[in-house]
Amino acid sequence: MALLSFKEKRLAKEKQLKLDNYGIDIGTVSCNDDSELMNRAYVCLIRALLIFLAVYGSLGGLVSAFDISYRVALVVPLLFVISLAVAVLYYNRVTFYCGYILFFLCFSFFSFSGYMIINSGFQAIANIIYEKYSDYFRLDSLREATEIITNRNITVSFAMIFAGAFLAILLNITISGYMNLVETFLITFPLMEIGLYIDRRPKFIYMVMLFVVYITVGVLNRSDHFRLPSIRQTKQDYLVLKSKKQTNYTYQSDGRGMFATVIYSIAFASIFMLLASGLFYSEFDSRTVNNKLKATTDEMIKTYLQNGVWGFFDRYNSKGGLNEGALGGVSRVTPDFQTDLTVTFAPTTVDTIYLKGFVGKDYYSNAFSPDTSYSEAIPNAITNPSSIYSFSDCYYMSKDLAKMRIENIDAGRLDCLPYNTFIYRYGGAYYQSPYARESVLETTGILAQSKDLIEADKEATSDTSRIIDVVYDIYTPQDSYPASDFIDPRYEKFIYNNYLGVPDYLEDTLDDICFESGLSFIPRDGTDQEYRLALLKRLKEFFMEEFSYTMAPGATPYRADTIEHFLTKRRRGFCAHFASSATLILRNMGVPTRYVEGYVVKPSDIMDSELTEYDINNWLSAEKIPDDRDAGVVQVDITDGNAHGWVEVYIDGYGWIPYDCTPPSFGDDEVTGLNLASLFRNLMLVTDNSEQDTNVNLPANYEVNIGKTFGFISKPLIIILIATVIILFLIVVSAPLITYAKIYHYSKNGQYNNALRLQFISLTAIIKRDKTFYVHATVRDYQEYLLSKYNCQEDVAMLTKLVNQALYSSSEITLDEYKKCSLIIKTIKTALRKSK
Amino acid sequence: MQKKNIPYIINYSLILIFFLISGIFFRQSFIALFIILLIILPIISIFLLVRNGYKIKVNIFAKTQSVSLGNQIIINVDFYNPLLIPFLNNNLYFKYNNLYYPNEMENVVSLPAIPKSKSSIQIPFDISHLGINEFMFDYLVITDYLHLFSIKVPVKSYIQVSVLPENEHVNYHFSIPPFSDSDEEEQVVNYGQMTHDLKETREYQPGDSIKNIHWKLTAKNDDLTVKVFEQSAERTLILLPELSADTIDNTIVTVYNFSLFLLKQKEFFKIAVFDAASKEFTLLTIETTDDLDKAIYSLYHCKLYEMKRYAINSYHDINGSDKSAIHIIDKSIEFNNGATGEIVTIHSEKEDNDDGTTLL
Repeated sequence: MALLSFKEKRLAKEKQLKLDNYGIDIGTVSCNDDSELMNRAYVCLIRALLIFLAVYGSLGGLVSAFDISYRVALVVPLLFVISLAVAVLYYNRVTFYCGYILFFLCFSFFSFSGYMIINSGFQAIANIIYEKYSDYFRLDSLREATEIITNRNITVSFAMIFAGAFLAILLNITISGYMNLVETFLITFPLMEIGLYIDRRPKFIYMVMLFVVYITVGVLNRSDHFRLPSIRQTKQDYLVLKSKKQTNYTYQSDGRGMFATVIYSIAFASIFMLLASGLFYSEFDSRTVNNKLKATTDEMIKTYLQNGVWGFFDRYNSKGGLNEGALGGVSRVTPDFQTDLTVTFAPTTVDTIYLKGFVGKDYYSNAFSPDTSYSEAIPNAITNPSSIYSFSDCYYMSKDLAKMRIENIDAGRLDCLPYNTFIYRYGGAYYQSPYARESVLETTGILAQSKDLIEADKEATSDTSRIIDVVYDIYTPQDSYPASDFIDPRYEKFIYNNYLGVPDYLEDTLDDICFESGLSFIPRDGTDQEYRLALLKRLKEFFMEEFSYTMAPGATPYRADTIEHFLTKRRRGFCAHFASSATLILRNMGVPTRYVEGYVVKPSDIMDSELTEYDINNWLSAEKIPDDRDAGVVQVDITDGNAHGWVEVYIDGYGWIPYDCTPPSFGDDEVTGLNLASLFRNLMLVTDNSEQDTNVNLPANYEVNIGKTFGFISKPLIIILIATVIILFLIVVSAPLITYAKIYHYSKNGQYNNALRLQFISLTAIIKRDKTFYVHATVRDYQEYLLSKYNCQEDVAMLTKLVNQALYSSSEITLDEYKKCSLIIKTIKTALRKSK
Repeated sequence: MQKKNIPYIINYSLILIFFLISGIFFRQSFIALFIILLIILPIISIFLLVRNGYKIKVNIFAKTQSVSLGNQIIINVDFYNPLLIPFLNNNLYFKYNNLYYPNEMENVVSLPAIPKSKSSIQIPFDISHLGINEFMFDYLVITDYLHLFSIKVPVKSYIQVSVLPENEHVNYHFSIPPFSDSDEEEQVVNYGQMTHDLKETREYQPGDSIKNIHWKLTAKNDDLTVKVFEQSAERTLILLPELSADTIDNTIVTVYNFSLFLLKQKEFFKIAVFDAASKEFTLLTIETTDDLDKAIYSLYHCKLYEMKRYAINSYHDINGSDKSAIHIIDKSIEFNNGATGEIVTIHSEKEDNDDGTTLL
């Protein structure tokens, strides 16, 4: 006993008790032959093999499932060497403690020096996986990572080596340390599952590798003979487990048995896969599986694919679609790409068609209030008869009419109407736009023409409440907008009274932005209209230059204003951010604006749409019908991915025009998405711009993004690291001091037993440097050692007698005895030191 | 199957159920693969076990039949697997205890059986008391690879190893008091009656006691025949060790050393083994060291008791308080001279020099 740890002291006491009570106690069970040392390397080798099979099986399986090419001759030997290196860490104490540090240093060096390549490799793999997943789920490929280096063959190989090293460390714990099947499965199989989930099967050999690992690990775990007695117990062949009625002695590790298990597993797994490969590689489309769990999982995967993990943690659920003016609180938009609306019409233009759903008037604390002020503005306008309140505004009238049928599938609201709607039929009744004054419509004959158009198709008279038929004039952006007779001057006055307001707390920010963007310097020569169009143009350019588009900008900090945060700090965002900001910026410049949400029908949607069998003559007025023979009526599915936000700008004398200033997505907003290397790098280094000198072309905002994401962690981390090192150092230095203090304390208080015990412990520490004992070395063992080394038998006998008394007896030793003993211990210590 | 397997069976079933449920909802081909594998594996595993498990051989032996205190008893377990497949879960159940101190603790040694090879392990035992240690290896439980099913192979190996005291070469200040004439006849008769240790019969010679004449044989042979009892020529010493639980080790060491001393002195003596349950004495005549070892074994088989003078009192109850016996308890040897009633304590020479410190 006389060892520091209480556990060992307790065990020794137990043994003594057993010997006293029963006269016999089992000793250290051991093997007869001396094959243990040889066995040790052997066991490490087999574990290395298992780790290699697990690492390469899962990584290779993933890569092969997506047909990604890499350099086998580079990856396989390196992965094996890494597996071997990590497995050897468990060889003995020295390799364990020193090896881990060394391995970590090598790993860090490799990661830092090659992080560009590794990072590109991850992005390459991620891109390919996103692509396949997008195909499978029929998603628009939203996430696209930027590959800085385009040689995929090399970058993927390096990424595999990096990931392999990382996996090997984890698997070394689960396989070498605990031989735990569940953990091993959880580490390796998800990689394989990435392919399997969308019916992309890995090659035969990788499945065999994983099966070998699973079977072997499972069997060895059950067998209990897989440990190497190196870390905790020296020289112990057997692990001892004690319960009340039973003591279990388990042989720790058995290389030959492990080897046999591996060999039989390989044979079994190969035969099994050969027989079952027909089943495994059968053509089966898992998309045909339809149940709630599968649908939910698909849903979550889609969310993850589009927005990453943080997509699950939003303050409110923004599943695309309209948000009714609410901003902020959402870190990402997570469209489900389910159809919201079905729009049937005859396309005549390549311009985007805007379907206006929500109109926002005043902005305050992260939200636009809905604009419900038509009736206020024009008292004699027709009051909105239904829940539909935000009519498209019709000022410019022509006889170029078109019909559109909008079917509501899953949209939150029905009244998403195109610009310049004159009249619509809904639920069997006709309604007119409040601005399309009946007298005007009648005098121009538009009303009659519109009604004819609506009733031209039999099906168009459907009375279901989900379908709305609209007659509208197709809006096209123009260089200049002519003045219209239809504008009521009272309304214009109302506009200038109501659509120029900005919150007080944003005025400074908006002024700064106007200044920065150069809007303030645009000359006011020419007409008002020209000036406004120049402002719009410049603002769009400014957003293109200084801001970037992303579906996942991150949530606005608590209590911060979304627009202020977006304009001053983040400068990344999606349509709602741009539209809302532009609304306020233009108002600040004296232009009446409104914030609008709705759906857009893009030319690409029309290309993907289905051609219907409707007669085009019933959908367009005669003047509009194109000469093109291919022209026809199409039915377009509008998903929540088409939901959009834009601005309406008032042009004096003409009316509201849609203005879209959201910059296009270049797909480079996810640089940090899977960037493990930069994570490590940024955890360790506060700022390091020297990397920018490399030949690689970085995107302009690359460094900035990383800095923003991880910079705040670095400083505290370094402080914690330094503090930990200092504390560890203090503990090491202070341990002997504490012991001496304790001895002093005990001897002062008359607790000579404890004092002697501690003194003896310090003596055994010196002895143990010279000779290794079994774990439960007894006082007798030390006595024998001392007798062999130190020539005064009487002293040793007396010392051991008193030490025994101090350890096991309840009677306290006397002061004289204690003094004698401490003298003896002192002389023995000096003698031992001299003999060395 | 054993109780131990049940958690593993539940565990395995849960995994299987998990895959079955995932299979129902996700219908992926790899899940089918896993399910088939999970069904096949236990069948193969149990089949291999039941078919081959009984072929594993175990051989257990002790290196020595007796050891002296301070040494370890080493039991060797040889394990031979003649098969081509390994069996990784083999649990050898055994118990061990000193006969004096019964112990019901069960021990299990778990070790693998490597294909086509012999593995050998040694189990050492530390001993702190004298006595007979018995080792019972009852059975070997072999479990299949997945821990779902076990078979029990009886081993039935029983080993006894005795722990003998060491010869410390002690000399005692002791010599047998000379016989007084008046005593002689009585003594001999007494011992003869008590032990019936008739050694031989021979023709009458002048000087033989009339009491010893074997009248029946004399009538048969027409010659005067006398019974010759063992030690009839000299006075017999009886060593009576007190089997008191507290002091049993020292008592036996003292008996052993004192007996060796007596043997060296060429004295004839007996050791009285006292059975506390039946209150009977068995007298064992000691002429050689082998006899002494046997006597010690007999002592080892006795039951211990708490009282300090139980044996000597019982002895006096049976034979009268004046009968002499050398009472040994702990380190003290007391000689009760039956004739005089005087109690003499016998000291060893070592005791005179002993400062009372012993090594641990």
